[in-house]
Amino acid sequence: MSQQLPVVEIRREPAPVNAAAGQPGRLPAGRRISLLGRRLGSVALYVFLTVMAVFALFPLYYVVQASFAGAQNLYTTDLHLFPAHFTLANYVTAFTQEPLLNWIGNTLLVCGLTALCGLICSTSGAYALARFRFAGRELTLRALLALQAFPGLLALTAYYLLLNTLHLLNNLLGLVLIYSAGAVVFCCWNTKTYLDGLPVELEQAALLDGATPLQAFWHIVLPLATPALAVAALFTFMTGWNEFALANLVLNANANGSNLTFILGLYSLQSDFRTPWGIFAAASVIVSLPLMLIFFFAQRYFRSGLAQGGLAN
Amino acid sequence: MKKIFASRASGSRPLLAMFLFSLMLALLLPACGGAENSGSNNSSSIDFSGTIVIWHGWQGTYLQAKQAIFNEYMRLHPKVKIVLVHQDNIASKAATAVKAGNGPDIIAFTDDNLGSLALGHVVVPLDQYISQDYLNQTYTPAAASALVFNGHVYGVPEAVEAVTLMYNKSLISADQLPKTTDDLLAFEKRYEQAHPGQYGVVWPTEDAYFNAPWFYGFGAQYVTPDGKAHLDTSQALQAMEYIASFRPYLPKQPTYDVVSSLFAEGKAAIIINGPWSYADYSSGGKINIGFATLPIVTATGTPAKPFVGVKSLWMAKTAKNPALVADLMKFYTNKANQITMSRADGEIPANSAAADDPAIQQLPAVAGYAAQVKLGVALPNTPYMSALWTPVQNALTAVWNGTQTPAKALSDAQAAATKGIAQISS
Amino acid sequence: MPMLRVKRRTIVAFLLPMLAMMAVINLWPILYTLYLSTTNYSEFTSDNYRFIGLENYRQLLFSFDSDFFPVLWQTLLYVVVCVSCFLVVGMLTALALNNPRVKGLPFWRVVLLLPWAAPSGITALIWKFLFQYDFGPFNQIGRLLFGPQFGIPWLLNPTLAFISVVIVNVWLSYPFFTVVILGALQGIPGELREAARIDGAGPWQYFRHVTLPLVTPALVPATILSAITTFQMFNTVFLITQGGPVVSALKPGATEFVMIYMYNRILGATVANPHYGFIAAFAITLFVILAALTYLGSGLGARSPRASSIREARA
Repeated sequence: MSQQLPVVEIRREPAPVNAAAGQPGRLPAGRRISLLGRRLGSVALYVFLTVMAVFALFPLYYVVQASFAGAQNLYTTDLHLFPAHFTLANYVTAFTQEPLLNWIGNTLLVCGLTALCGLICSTSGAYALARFRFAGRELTLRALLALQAFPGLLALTAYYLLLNTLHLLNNLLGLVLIYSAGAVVFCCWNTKTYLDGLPVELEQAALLDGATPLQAFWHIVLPLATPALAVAALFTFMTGWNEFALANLVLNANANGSNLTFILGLYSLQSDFRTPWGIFAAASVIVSLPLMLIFFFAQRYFRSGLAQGGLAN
Repeated sequence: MKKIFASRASGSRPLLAMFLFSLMLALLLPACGGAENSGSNNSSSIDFSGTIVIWHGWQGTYLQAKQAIFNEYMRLHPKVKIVLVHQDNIASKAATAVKAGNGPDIIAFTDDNLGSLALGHVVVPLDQYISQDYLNQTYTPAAASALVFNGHVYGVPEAVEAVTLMYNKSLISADQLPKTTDDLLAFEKRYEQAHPGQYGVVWPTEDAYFNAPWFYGFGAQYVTPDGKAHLDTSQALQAMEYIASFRPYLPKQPTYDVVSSLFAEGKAAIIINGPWSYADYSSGGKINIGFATLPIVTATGTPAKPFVGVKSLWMAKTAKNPALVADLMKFYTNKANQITMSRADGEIPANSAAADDPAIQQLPAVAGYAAQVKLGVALPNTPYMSALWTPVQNALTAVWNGTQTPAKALSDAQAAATKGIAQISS
Repeated sequence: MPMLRVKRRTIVAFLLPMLAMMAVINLWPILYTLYLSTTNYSEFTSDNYRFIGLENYRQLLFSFDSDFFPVLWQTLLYVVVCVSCFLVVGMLTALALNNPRVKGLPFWRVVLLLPWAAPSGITALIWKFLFQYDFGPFNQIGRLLFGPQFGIPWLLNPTLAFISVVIVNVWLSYPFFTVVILGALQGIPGELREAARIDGAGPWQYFRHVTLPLVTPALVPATILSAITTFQMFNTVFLITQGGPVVSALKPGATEFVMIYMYNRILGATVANPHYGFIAAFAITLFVILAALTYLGSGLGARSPRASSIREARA
């Protein structure tokens, strides 16, 4: 099983020692050409890396610099690539004039509850699918796979009606409920795959010793499955924070827009003609930075939780 | 970090399980309720209690002026709670919500939607509480008639609106204003040359509503009341070609937010815009705004005719207390409150007593918009109009982007509109 | 796999929370959509809609002016173009990052993976602004270099708009492929390179006959999964173009891919009388396609929904 995990672990091999490096002039002609080729190769390599770095960084750089340049307007005909006057004014405004903290809070709440709901609803079921033999097991597994192919967006009308009936429209819990649809399926599948890889003997022994299945599940399996649960929670958490369409369906801005998730909030900032670009940029940076830190931090963690259930199993 | 996850996953599980069950209960219980109120009709006494939910599209400074009036009503009737909910696609969201018995009490929107909402039984008549006579006596004629559909009264009008020329007095003077459509184009060219990077006149050139003045001024129309699209006429073509003649001089992506911020930043001398924008531009003395009517179409000799919309409040089918709804509607549009509203945001009051008040008529914004309203055409309130917005907008966009010629764009739009109309009448 | 023997009651108790929840939030919406697809439910018929059998499907699949196939076609084109670019860019960056001669690897690694870490919803909004014709930085830079007449109609021209959303998607997604390929490259034993050199294989031959075959097993599932997620992409493209630019009033927009098309027909800014029944038929047809792709993918090795979720977190 090869690993496709987002674990960035590059082996640091020592650079190959070029025995002839010190005396290029005395090399035979063939080696000289190949050395030239390698030089050119090196140049091309760095050029390529630089181009890619500019490609990767430009959008991010542009926003960061704009966030530190005073209150530029979003639609200005002057180009600014460097902040002329370095200022934190945009950050102050973003925090004081815009309901940025509410947006972040709402998003964390929705994503957190979604992850929680996904775990709670799926873990015991995943255990049952991994350990118990019963009629309809195969069918359930196939159904899970099919459900996973159904993006929530396809059932827009149905979800609207569902939330309407439950009086959960314009309510963060309503959003949690819709997001949970994907979360439950994903958490179940991930946990089940992980449990498949754990030995069953411990539980068998516990049951022989008179433990109930619930006790075995609670005291033996759950602690062992922690990495898988954590990763499942993390992924479900991350799934929600960029989502626009369903959030836009469920949430309607109140008078100052404080009830939105951050993606809806930033979208409204950008389409609101009174909002200076600098504030949008500052708000974007504030929201992105912690998420990017979490992402890079969490990468190390992906390996332990997902490796066993690698996707090419 | 691992530890945090671990404790969350195992240590606190009983708590989480309890949380889950309470969550599920909370989710499932209300589903059993949801009784629909059919609305009892006793107008003799009004029960001044309960919550009234209003779905609206008001924003910004504009919204604050209206909120103040509702606050006043709540002060007078402490047991009444009024909740304002901003909605993006009011018409389609209301349709779904009302059908599920979870809609608002009042829907505030422009009159062109009344036909389709009434046909879909999303809004219902309240003739018992507000008679046609009351409408005619209280409101200006155009505004009053916009609230009647198929012989029934559906609510009250709050304001009359149309787009007009608004100019920045510190950039140009009144005598520089273009008087005809040819002047307007020439003015745009001149201004752009004299002030590089700035614009003489801007408006959202890809929007069906904002471009109606040109179409109707050139003698074209979008749709007839009996549901025939009229986009493939020579008049429509002339209008489209006129709009397209601005392409070299205006921004390539003149969306509403772009043109509006250009004007707000003093980078455009004139904007074609409506009352909703006035308060935002002028508040804090940012821009000294002058008003003028839209130019006369050189080819026809008639003035450009903007859509005149009547902003209305209708009663939704889900209204729980129709008598209270009607009372609130009357209060909201009485003379005193309409005057307050106009002073705050420069809208033209629908209440005729307020509209005739000299103090109101002298407000430059009200006078400016009112002069334009006289020259406009009523926003078509046939349900078929709903099938026109998208095709017209698409045709304008395709022409502005240069992907289609005006003639081809209009003939495609005509076909699309005809198809849409057929779907409505089937 | 050994299984535990427990009472039927226990099995039910373990399964119940999950199945109950899924019945409400997964199954019911699908069944309701299926039901809607057989009715003429629209905004205007919401009070008296009726069962019309497969009429919606007939209109969708066999009507000559149906948008279904044009939309499906441009979506598939988008998928093919995007995924090819992911593979090429991902492969090149991975090879570069795997090259021991590069100095400062940790630096390059972090920089090249940054787009993956940034929240895609926000970066989409940033890209949208970068592409803006009159005020966007790309054209501003162009004007600085080539004079005031310069202007690329990024989001205004249908072809360029398509290319623009490809660029953004590549920006968002190549790091995933970089990481996948890098992981596989690092699994290649160093002796192979030595052996290849002794056999006189050039760099291209080495790549073609050693690297590629060894990386492919890891690439297949990643490619399938990202094809599926690109197929159902909504957020990024919608936030940038809303499906536009308009080509004609009679045709779908140039970047109106399946999900965006559906969304616009229900909740689009200027939508009139949404035909929920017809859209439901559209949704069910898409579901069939997606389920088929997923099973195809699972047959080829992508069994776990996990990796798609990794991508969903980005999409």
